[in-house]
Amino acid sequence: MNVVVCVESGPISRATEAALELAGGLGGPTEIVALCATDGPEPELRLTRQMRLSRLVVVREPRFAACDPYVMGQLLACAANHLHASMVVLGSRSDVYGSGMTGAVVAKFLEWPLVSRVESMRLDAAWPTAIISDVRTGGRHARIQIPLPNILTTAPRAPAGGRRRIGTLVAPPATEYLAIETLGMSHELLHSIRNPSTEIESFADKVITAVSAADLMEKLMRIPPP
Amino acid sequence: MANLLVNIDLRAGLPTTSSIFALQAARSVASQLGATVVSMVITGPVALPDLERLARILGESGADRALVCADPLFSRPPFWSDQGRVLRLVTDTLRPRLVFLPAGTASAQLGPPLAVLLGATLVPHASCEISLSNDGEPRLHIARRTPRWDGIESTDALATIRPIVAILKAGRPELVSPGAIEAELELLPMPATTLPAIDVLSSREDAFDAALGAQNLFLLTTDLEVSRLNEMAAMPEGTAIIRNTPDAPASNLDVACPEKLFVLSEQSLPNPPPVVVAARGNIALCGPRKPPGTRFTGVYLRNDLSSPDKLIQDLAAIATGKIER
Repeated sequence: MNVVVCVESGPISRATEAALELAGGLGGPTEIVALCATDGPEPELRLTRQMRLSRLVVVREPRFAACDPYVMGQLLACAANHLHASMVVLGSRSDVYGSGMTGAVVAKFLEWPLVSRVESMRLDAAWPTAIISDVRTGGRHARIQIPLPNILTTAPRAPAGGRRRIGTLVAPPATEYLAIETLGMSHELLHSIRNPSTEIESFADKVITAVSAADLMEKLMRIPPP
Repeated sequence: MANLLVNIDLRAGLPTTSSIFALQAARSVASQLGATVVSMVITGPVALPDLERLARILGESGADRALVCADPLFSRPPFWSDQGRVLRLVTDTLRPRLVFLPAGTASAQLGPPLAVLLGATLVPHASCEISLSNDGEPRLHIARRTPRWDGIESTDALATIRPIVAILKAGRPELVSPGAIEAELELLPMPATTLPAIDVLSSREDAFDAALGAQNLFLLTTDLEVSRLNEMAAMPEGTAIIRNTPDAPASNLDVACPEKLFVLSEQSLPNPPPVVVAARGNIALCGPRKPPGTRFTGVYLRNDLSSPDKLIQDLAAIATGKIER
């Protein structure tokens, strides 16, 4: 079974790390393929032995930066098909837009079921064409069985006790490159669909540390109004 | 903008705090722009008196219409493969330009595929505000923090090409006067689906659910006694306290999306602490600039836990905004 984990260009997010860890822990005859579509640097993977990554595939295209989630999702869906994926795993908001739509777009194009923010995954021993996962939804913490093929997204993992546990690091596999033409996707689709009515206002965050409520309020009051 | 759709999340047959907050936000927008607020409830079987009570609550909170699809299938936790079929039916009919989803784990499941179904832009952790342009035209700003956490991204929902699906931040609903007109109740049939079913093998109450909808959220990374936690839970409405445990991991903070986040630790953690870094991109620590129309503050409060009584006093003071000098 081929499991495709979508990874970002450059440093990967905690959610993507969680995706790689969960995919690596699936067990059985699984091949884990990291897939990255980018116009920028290659993914910086900090792989542990548990991640069991077999291949790293990069689709390089200079126009990606201008794409929107619908185009990126369709491209990842085409690439997942090309890689004969039975399952696609993504960080829940690991795309550059940070909205969490890419997984849903992939699911729509492949017509596979989507479950967001899974916390675990393992192959169902009794029914090897399904995945068992834990997920929170609607006030319930549920254990579910999701038929294959499917799309799963993972939430960022917070390290318990404030320290991140890192296993022995291993080198990533050699990068393979996929040309966009091999995916059966037209270049026209890569035209940007930017939203002209979106404005971005920049600011810098500042963390406040206080030792008591009074201390905190005093420091908060020193912040100038917007 | 003819129809503004609000999906309602229920607990024990009643709308969650976040759902009421989303409904009130929708009412405010609809009243200024002349739209109809349609609330959508997808639930397990409901008795008629409970349905009427629900319609009254939704009406009091701002809904003009209450669409209800009740089926035994929806007694289980919500997933797109189940609830999506109803949302598809409703959106095919209403063609909404704006959909509000309440903060919560159900919206994390339903929001992204609903946005794709509508060909919409998805805005998580959204706040909304109406302003007037220089020529007097209304502008509906749907705002959120940028993914890199270095700014505010604001979309004018009235000018954008695509519809918008906004998962709103948590907030405290305003008190409503009982006895207002109840929402017009409509029962929907159960549509068929083509998606393969997801089987729920087991489920239990989500320990993190208490944090959803809280305006003030205190995250403890300490081993404070449970009795003390219970004492803290008696703090003002809109306040929730959770501990960073495997059962309620801090990685879910971005779904809770409170207005104010306080991280309490007796240790000297890196600044900012890793539990907050995990949520970064979704929750602010503390910034001098805030999204329009919101009070969005988070603080890392290092407290001396050797005197828990003082801590509880401090927390209550922060939650109420009353500090005695």
